[in-house]
Parts: sequence; structure tokens; C-alpha cells
Amino acid sequence: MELRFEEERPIFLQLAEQLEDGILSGAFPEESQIPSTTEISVRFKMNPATALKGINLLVDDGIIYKKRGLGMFVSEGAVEKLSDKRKEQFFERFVCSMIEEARRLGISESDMIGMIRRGCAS
Amino acid sequence: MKKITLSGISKSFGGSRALENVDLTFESGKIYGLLGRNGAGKTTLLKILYGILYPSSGRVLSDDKEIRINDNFLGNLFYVGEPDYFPVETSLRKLFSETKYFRPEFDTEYALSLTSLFGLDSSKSLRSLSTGQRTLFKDILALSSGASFIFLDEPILGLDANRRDILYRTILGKYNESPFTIVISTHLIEEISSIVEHVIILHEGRVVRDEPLDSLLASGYSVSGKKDAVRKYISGKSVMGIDALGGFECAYILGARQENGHQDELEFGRLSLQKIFVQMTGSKGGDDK
Amino acid sequence: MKLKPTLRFIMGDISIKIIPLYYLASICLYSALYFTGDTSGLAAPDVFGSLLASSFFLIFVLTAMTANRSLRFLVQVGISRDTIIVANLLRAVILSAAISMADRLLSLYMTFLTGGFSQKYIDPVTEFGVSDSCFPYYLLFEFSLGFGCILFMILLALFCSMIWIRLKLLYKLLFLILSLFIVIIYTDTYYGIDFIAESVGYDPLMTAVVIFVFFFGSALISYILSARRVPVRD
Repeated sequence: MELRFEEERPIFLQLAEQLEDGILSGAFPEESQIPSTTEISVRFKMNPATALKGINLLVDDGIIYKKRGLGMFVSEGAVEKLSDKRKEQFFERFVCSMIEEARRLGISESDMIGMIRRGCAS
Repeated sequence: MKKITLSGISKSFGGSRALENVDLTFESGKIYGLLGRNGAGKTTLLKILYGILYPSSGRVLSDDKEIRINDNFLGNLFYVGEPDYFPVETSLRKLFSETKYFRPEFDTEYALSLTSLFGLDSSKSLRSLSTGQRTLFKDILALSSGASFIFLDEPILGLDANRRDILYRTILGKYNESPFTIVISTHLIEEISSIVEHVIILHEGRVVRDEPLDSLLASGYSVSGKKDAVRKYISGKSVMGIDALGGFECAYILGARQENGHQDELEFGRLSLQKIFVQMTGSKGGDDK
Repeated sequence: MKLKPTLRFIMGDISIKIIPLYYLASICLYSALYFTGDTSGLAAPDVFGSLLASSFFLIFVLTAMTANRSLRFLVQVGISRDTIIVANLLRAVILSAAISMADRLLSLYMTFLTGGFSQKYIDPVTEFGVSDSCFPYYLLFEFSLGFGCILFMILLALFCSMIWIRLKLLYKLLFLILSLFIVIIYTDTYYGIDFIAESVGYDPLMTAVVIFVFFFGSALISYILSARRVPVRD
């Protein structure tokens, strides 16, 4: 796992997203252990409080869970949950803004669908 | 000892004011960034805390009780000033054991393991070390001190990227083991911004910011775009500063972000520690020695 | 208070190690003079004579030279000023006792070499000869005077090294001249006290005590005041 942080967004959010990417890509399969806050803190040079904040985001979403005394594990069904969430995000981030822009430019719905088909084919 | 408080500390040297009415609290188990340009008063502040200098006025409190700086209080703290406070002709190994003699909680083994981790030769004298190696020696002493409040003054001075990297990991590793308070005083900000939890910005002897990093970063935002649009947007808002580049401008604003209806012509961004620092301390030409 | 390690540290200073060497060298020198048959240079000193004067300067220079160096290291490892002051005072007492003792022994050795035990011991105040039965008390008297003087010198040297850090050059020079003046008067107390006693009209013993307390007290107070908050020089 390689983390590259940008300035624009809070580090704990970026950490949470990177961990999600890891789970989606299969780097952390379901029921497998993810690195502890200590490991994350040392490996990615961040304050442990920040690392904990990022991990807690995933715990709150039910993506990962704590096993007392053992560490953090990926929940069963986490991949499905995440891909649902990402699909929802895809709709909000890309589809909605695309439609907005299309309306501004006066592109009709059927033209838009045609364009998408053309994009998929190429 | 749970916290150290500075109350109304002022210090002048001859006629010039180095610190002016500084109120600060260092709580146990947190990583602080003490930021300021050269000559902002960072070192003076640390030296006052460690009893190397005495304030012209003001008090030092330990757990809310005013104290006279004594061995007991100093035993909880560790600060390395100039490396040549040590007898420079003595070998590092000997200096570790001398330190251990005065501070029983000093971890000599850990100090020696860090010495080899950073590729220093413990049989060499302090005099023979380069600037970067002296910095490492200071850092090693502080990290091995076993003190609950550690003050690192310019801990990366003269270190290359590789060693800085090892240093940050070492600090965090030690901190994760048993959280202690670390105050990192530096004017090189970008690298420590992910490590620190709480930020103190000193400018010309005054505290201009003292708050958790998160809330500091959330206290403002940047807005950029064509000059006219930016100017129109920022009127009536609290502006920290503006960077101009031809007809393009980027303004740094304090307060909650208001994007409504401006997304087309303006771009909104988050503040970085570096940007805030430059805006807070760049007003008048500080002393760049 | 971390008094024990602090005291050990300043007692282990290189300057302390020079002192026994100094006495060893003195013994060798005087013995050599004796065996070469030249006893004229061996006139045993008075209480404040040449022998004590040389250990005065030795201890003054050594203390002034090293006080600042040890201050810096002790401050660095987190020893408070209070502890440093107390340790320095303790060391001054120990050193004074050792040096005045060594001075007495050395002077006895020289007296022995010149074979002049009996005619040498004249009470400086009453100017009566000291009989054999008084001899131990006389030694004690000499010892305590020597002890007091060396203690004063050490305190003065500590004070010098402390304010040395603070003062500008002109003040430093003025201060140096003044302390030398005091040292000279004090080393030569025998005549100095007589002279002062005559001019103020007190009896010499009283004058000696007053001067002693005054000098001693001022050296002690000046050292404590100067060391209490002295900044450490970079």
C-alpha cells in the first residue's frame, strides 16, 4: 500500500479512502487484519490520533471492526458495502455533474446517451 | 506532572523584546509544533522553560501551581540547546553515560541503538561531528531521555531527506510506545504537518495561533481566480493575505467557506499549514538571520 | 535535589586534579633546593606569606576558568541553579580545607628542612613566642586563617566567572583591577590590618574579624546573587 497525501483534503479522510481502495482491490480481503494505528502512524509518518480518526470513519461505516486485543479486521460484506457506496458516489460526483453541464450546453438526453455509448465503445 | 503552563512570560535582551506576554500550556501526551520564523522567540521560550534563561516577567506553572524551577521539575523535561553546552572533546558514548549519571531514567541502550541506526560512531567526539550529525546527537539524547516533556529545537537542521524520514518514524515509534509530550520547534513546516496534533505559531515574540491542527486548518480557506472576481468575492470578508500572479489571484480567508453561486469563476481550496504560517508571519519582514 | 551527582561532577573536574600535582611539584622543588644545599630560598612562610599566596592564585585561576564550563553541562542535563550553587559552595569548603591543610603540611616540611621549628612560631598578634605546648593550637589557628582565606578566594573566583558572562568589557576590566586590589590587601593582611586598625583606631583583632566577615560575606552573597539567575552563554 502506498499513500500519497495531497494538501487539499484532510489527511484522515485520505487515509480512510486509501484503506477503502485497498479493501476494494483485494489487498485486504474480508476477515483479514489491517495494519494497526501504530503501524500506520509510523509507516506513513502521521500522528496516531489522525490515523485513529481515519480508521474510526471505517469502523463507523461498518467496513472494519475491532477484535478486542487482536486488532482491526475487515468486516464480512465490506467489499459489497464499499462498492455500493462508491457507485452512489460515482452517481453524485460524475453523473449528476455531467447532467448539469449537459443542460448548460443544451445537450439533449438522447444525445447524451449516444455520447456515453460512443465513449464505451472506444 | 500533567501539564506545564507559561503565564504572561516576557523577555527582553537589552532593549529588544524577544517574548511578549506569552501564555501557553503544554499538556502531557501530545505532539506540538512550535512554529515561527528565525528570531520569532522559539528558542528563547524553550530556554526559559528549561531554566537556561530567566524571564523578565511572568510565571511558570506545573499542574497549575506556580513553581521555582528546581531539579524535580527539570527531571520531567528534556531540552538540548546548543550541542557545545557539552564538553566537545568527549566521546558520544561517554556523554551518554554522563547524562545517565544525572538522569537515572535515561536509556543508554536505546541511545546507542539509535546512534548506530543513524550511522554515527559512538566513539567519536562531539567536536568531530558535522552539523547534521550534531543535530542527530541532540535528537538521540532527547528521545532516550525518558522525560515526559521533550523539547526538540530545530530537530532536522542539516539532515538529508533519508535521515529526516528515519527520524520521523523513530519519533512516532517511540511516541506510540508510551505517549509523551513532544514539542517540535522549527521553521520547516511542511514535513511535520502530518505529525503534529497541536500548533503554536510565534511571530515577533507573540503567540499568534495556539490551537489543534484540525481546527487551525478548518479556520479558513483559499479562493482563487481572476483578480476582479476574487476582489469582488472577498470584499467584507476577513482576509489573511493575497498572492498575486499577473491577473490571477489567490486569497486566504478566515471563516466558514461560502461557495454559493461562485463556483463558475472561482476555485475554492483548503488551507495548508504552510500557507497559514506564511500568511500569519509574513506581514512584516521578520529577522531572517 | 540531585546534589550528590552534581558535587561528584564538579569534584571530578580537571582543575581539581592539578592541585595535587602542584603540591607534589612544590615538595620536589623544595627537597631539591635542600639537597643541593641552597637553604636560603627555603625561609618558611608566614601565615599569609609567599607559599599561601601562590596557592591563592592557583585556586582563583582554576575556579574562574572552569566554573562556566561545568555550569553549561549541568544546566544541559537539567540541574537547577539552586543545586549548582549549593554544590559549588560545598566544593569550596572541601577544597579550602584540603588546600589549607596541604599548605600547613608543606610549610611544616619546609620548617623541618631548615630546622627552624622553635624560632619560627611567633604569634602575629601578641608577638609572643609560641611554646611547644601551644604548638598544636597555633597550627589550628594558622589552619583556620588559611582555610578562611582560600574559601574567600574560591567564592570570589566563582563570582568573577558568573558576572563575567554578563558584563561588558569595561566593567570586566574594572572588576578585575578591583578584585586584584582586594586580593593583594587580603594576602598581605598582616600589614594591611595593622594599617587599617591604626587609621580607624580599633584593636587589630577586632579589625581583622570585621574585615574578614565583611569580605567573606560579600563574596558569598555576590556569588549567590550572581549565580542564581545567570543566563548560560551560547
